[in-house]
Amino acid sequence: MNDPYLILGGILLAILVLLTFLLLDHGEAMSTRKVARLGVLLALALILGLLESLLPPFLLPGMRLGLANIMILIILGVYGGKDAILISVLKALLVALLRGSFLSMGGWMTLAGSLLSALGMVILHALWKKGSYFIVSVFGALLHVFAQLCVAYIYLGIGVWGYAPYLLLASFVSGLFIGLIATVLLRRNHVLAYLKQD
Amino acid sequence: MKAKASSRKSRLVEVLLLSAAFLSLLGTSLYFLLRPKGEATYADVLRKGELVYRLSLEEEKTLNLDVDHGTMVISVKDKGIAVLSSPCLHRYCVSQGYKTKAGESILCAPEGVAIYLRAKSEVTEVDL
Repeated sequence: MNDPYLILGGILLAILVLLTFLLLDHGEAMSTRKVARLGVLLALALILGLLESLLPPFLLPGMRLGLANIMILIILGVYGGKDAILISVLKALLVALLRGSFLSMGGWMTLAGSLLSALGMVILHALWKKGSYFIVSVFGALLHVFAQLCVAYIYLGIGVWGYAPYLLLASFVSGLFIGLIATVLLRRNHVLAYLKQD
Repeated sequence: MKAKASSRKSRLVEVLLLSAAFLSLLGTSLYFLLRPKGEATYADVLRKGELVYRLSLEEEKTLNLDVDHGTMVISVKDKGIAVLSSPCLHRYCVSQGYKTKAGESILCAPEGVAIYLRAKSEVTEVDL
């Protein structure tokens, strides 16, 4: 990628962050407690994401568990779609900054994946309130990998799709796993009590 | 009214889930489109989207390619091409070994290097 693309990408990124904050206006100010709670969940998501990135990918480049999405699902379940998207975008940006892949291919892959999967999960959840978190999680995981493949395609060409079936299958499995953890956590009363307490 | 809204919602849910399944199928079928087809006669080496070398696979050759984090060593041997060493972290590109079939590719994401094997009757070597 040439430098002009990076600059353009950086500008788009800034606009994206601004839009995220503007569009996710809650009408009334977020309670301090909620800001703190979301901050904790964001930090947890970051820790999970960073730790996980230290591990080598399983078989193929890009095969990851996506542990941070446990937090995204919990936020989705407890606080709703807007906060889930907000934390998802922040997580993607911060993970990229902390790993040093900001504005590089890896950073774009993380951002695109997190954004598309968060948007998809939020839309699915909004339409299907009683939906099983397993399916929401798998849906998000598939979208995540698909978006990453699209970004990789821009950088590396058509050859990346050779990895597609394996990565999509792996993301299906890891989506189930993450969905399991999130479902279990969302059923624990003390977790809900802690998060909802105002 | 309520029944209409909820049936519309459930249809949208189906659309979403089906599109996820469709995207997965799409990704998978692209894989099949890229299946190796016959022996390759030349290989394109791209770095960050730009063609750096077009190598005939007939001649044995070893060359060094400057990449972000160091030098990548590429070898052409026995009508195949391989990455012998790379400064990238995981070295997936190296572990691929020699590729010989048209349609195959060797990708190194951290360095932005993509090697595509192709087959064509006439090849002009490009050495940029």
